[in-house]
Amino acid sequence: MNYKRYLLAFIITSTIFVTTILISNKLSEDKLLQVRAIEEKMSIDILSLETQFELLQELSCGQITESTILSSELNTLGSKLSYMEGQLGTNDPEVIRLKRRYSILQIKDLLLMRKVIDKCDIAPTVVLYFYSNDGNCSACKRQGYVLNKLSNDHDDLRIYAFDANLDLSALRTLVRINKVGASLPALVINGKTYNGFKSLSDMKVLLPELIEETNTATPDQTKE
Amino acid sequence: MLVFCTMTIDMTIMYALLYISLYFEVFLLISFISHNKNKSNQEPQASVHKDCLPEVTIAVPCYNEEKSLAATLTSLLALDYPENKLHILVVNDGSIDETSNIAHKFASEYKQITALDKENGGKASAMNMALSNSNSELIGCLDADSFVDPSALMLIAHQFINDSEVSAVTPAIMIDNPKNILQMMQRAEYMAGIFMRRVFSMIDSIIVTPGPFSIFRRADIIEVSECADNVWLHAHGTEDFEMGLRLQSNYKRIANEPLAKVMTISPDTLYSLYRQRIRWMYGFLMNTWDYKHMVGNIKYGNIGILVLPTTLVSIFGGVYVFGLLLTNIVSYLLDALVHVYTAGFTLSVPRFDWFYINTSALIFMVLILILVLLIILHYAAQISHTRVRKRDTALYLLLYGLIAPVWLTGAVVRATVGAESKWKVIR
Repeated sequence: MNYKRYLLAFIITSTIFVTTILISNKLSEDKLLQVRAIEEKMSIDILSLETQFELLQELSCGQITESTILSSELNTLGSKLSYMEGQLGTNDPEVIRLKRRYSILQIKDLLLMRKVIDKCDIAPTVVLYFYSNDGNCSACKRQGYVLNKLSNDHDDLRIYAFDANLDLSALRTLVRINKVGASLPALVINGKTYNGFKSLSDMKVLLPELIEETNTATPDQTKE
Repeated sequence: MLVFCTMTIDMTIMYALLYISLYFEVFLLISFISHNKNKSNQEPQASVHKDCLPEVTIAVPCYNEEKSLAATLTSLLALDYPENKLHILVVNDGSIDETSNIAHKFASEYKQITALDKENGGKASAMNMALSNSNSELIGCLDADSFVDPSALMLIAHQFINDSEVSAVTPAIMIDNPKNILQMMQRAEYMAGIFMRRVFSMIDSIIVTPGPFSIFRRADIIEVSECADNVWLHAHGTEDFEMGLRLQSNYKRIANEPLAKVMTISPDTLYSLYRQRIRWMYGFLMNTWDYKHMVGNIKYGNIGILVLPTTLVSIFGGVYVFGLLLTNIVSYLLDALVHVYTAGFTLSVPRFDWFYINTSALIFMVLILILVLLIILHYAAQISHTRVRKRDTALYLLLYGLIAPVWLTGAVVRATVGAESKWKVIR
């Protein structure tokens, strides 16, 4: 028996194995950095827009399109974060940290959106969605599918999704203000809180303005 | 590190299995390369005069082989070996087709061929009959669905002549004329097998002496048997595994000759392939159980501490990965159903974004294993002086991992519940 050969195979295999893990970790870290960079850019954009609001009381509504762009970036960020959560696990400290920042950005975007609604007399439909991915919310996945479908079909619908289990004081306040109970999923629509799963048909009842928009749209504008 | 921080039990097992697989492949490659390096420094071996060649008996055990027997015998008659030193014994194991008539017709035409008939009793009993009806120094077997290259026997005989400690020599088995994707996949698989058998021979770890044209030194196989009339045992329907393990457990050498080519007909349907493989795997598991004293035993060298344990791990690992894959597929399909049920069916074209490319270490490890497998196929082609077709390789990489776990699982279940395969007795 050639023990040196066993040792050599061990060294080569371990080197390949460790290198592979290091490369994979590096790529994951790069992706997290990318998410972090988007978050930072967004937080500056939101801050800038807020400052603009404060500086120019009479800011033209035409200039407020930036907020819509921000919301679309929020969606991209959310989907990237969700992917990383799937890759690295829900308990990964970096993922949790980024999710907390993401939640704050969403809350800030929500507040900004309310200002825009007040100022410009526009009425985008806003839905707050509280979920849990701790395994104690069997209907959360289904609720996510329903909301995704609505979001894809209606540009005017703005959905803010929050992991209710995140340890974040701003989020806790939002939960308290909206009287979100322990039973998840929970939806806040037009200031009213609904606990439990809401199907596509339930949602159409809860969001009549969306149905109206769909019905009044010309065939070219209708997405469905 | 990120990976280790977030690893679940499933992932840990997967990484362990990948590490073992990679270690095994790396070990085989190192062994192959270092052996070849040493070999290139050796003097080339001189050829032997035909009068000095040993007498050989090739037994052709057959059961209902009317379709392929004539071609098998014709290929044996074409062997480049002195006529007076080669005896061909066709043992008809109670066939109910034209096998016996074909065998006797050949026997009447060629004095090298003898045809024997017996009641159906399985391949092992047919081989024992051949052994007791011959007295040549070497005895081999050729399944009646296989055909030999003319130079095969001469090359194998030289292995016996050059090394008096060799008790058996195995050939390079290839797939004959593949017609469908399943057979093409098997052709690449058999090519990888050529490399494996070669390296196993270099590290004295061949554990199977396959039916197509393995040749044995008569005295040695009788020496390791309890009874000279019962050398080949039924051994759970896989006498070739048992013979390999028995020789190894008695510290006998099994060599390999990669240029001794034997073509064999492979299963052409998924069901027949499944039946063949489940018999092999079941036989391997049961025979390994019978020779369990060898597993992990350093007394038996590489075979004890590397080849047998790794093969066992790969079988159970295959079953585990298959279970995991199946669970994930079922879960994915259920999710998709729930999705369609709750939100309807939406067809959207996904946008490409590098961000969503899976860069987990698991994926890299699998890619590295595939790369090593390609290197193995390259070397297999080199040592057997053949070529590997890209299409076969692609089919092997795409299909094998999906279908092999099915028979691995089937064999493990059968071995666990003790249900021996009840296939055709001889095959």
